[in-house]
Amino acid sequence: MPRPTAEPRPATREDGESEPHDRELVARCQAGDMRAFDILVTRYRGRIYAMVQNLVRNETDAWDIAQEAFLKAWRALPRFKGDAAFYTWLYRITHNVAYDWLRKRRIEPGIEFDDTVRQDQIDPAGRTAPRPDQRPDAGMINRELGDRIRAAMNKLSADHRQTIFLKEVQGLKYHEIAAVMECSEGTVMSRLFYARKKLQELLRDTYEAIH
Amino acid sequence: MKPSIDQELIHRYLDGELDPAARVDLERRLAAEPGLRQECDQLARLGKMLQQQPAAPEPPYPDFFNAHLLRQIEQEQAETGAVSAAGSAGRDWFGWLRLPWLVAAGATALAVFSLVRIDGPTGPAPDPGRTSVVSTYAPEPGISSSVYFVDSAGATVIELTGLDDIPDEQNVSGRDLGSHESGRGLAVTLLDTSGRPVAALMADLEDGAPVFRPLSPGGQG
Repeated sequence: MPRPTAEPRPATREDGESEPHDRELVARCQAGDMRAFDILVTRYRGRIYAMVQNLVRNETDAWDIAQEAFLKAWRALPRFKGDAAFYTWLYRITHNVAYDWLRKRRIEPGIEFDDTVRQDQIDPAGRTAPRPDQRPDAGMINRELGDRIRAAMNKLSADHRQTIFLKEVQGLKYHEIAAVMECSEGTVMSRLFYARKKLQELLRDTYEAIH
Repeated sequence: MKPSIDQELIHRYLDGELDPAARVDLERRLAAEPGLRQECDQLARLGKMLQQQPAAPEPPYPDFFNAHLLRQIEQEQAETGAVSAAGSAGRDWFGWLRLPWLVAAGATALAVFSLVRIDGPTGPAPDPGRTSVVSTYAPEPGISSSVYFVDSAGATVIELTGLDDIPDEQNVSGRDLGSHESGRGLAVTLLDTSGRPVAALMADLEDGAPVFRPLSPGGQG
């Protein structure tokens, strides 16, 4: 069974009305409507932030880089012709900003950063302590699983990590990933193949145990 | 190690990148070949696990994320004199109105684009206080404007209706909106309740098109 793709779509409000489509919002931005840009930022900030964090693996830097990406997008919007979907265009800008940052910081692929807040660092009596929305054992399994996935992903090169993230987590098609990463679809497929092979080695015990 | 043709097929199948005919072919083979099925299932399980990562987690302080970004854009535009993504859109003549001190009234209070003509020496005899407003444009839906001359005050008044209420703590009052002639054109000055100018919108009429320039709060631009 093929996996469903998860293309970003305009949200549907609680009243059932659809939010404006990206094309409409982009046109409004190009006419100078900053409120339209505000809506686009709200719509995509989570995806952009996740994409950047997957690359730089640091919450604070990811926040700043995501800001820079949106700022560059705003500056470039007058030249956006709509040949590609807005979100792939935005992803490409973000990708370039994040890679520029990686180059400047000379972060070698494979160096691990761990920003994960450990559970034992959280005061259970604290007012802002996370609320247990699920069974404690289920939450623990998800946290452990998330940690293992992150650790395995961190062992991939930046290119492989980005490719697998855009495919598996963001649900982009091959041609969209190729457009974002400015490479051929063949390169996308090759990166996916090697990334999955590596992740299978690293995570085999994990996914075979829980499924 | 290069992927075999079968491996490539499986990846493309799981990624939804096979055309319908190739998909049917592969599914037929998957049903008949346990080894191929096993490889496909393992890869599918890996994908299912990876997909549990959040695709769009909100960044920390998401509201501040937007506010900070928009503020950067406004500052950049103010510093460079550049207009927004529109390049030339009329709304951004009024970008300065989004400054925090004008939030309540600002969105719309002066978002009326007025083409104004001061009667000069070659025109009819000057009538002190009387200004000819050629047209007005209110970009905000629900905001309308009307222009009239008040004899008792000797002033031309641009009245805006449909504005949001101005909160008590807001120092800018619509009734203190005034105008005065300056040099080549007209400046509409926004005053606070103590009569100090907090901003001005200038129309330079000599070049043929009005040029509006915000003044810094409390002084000259």
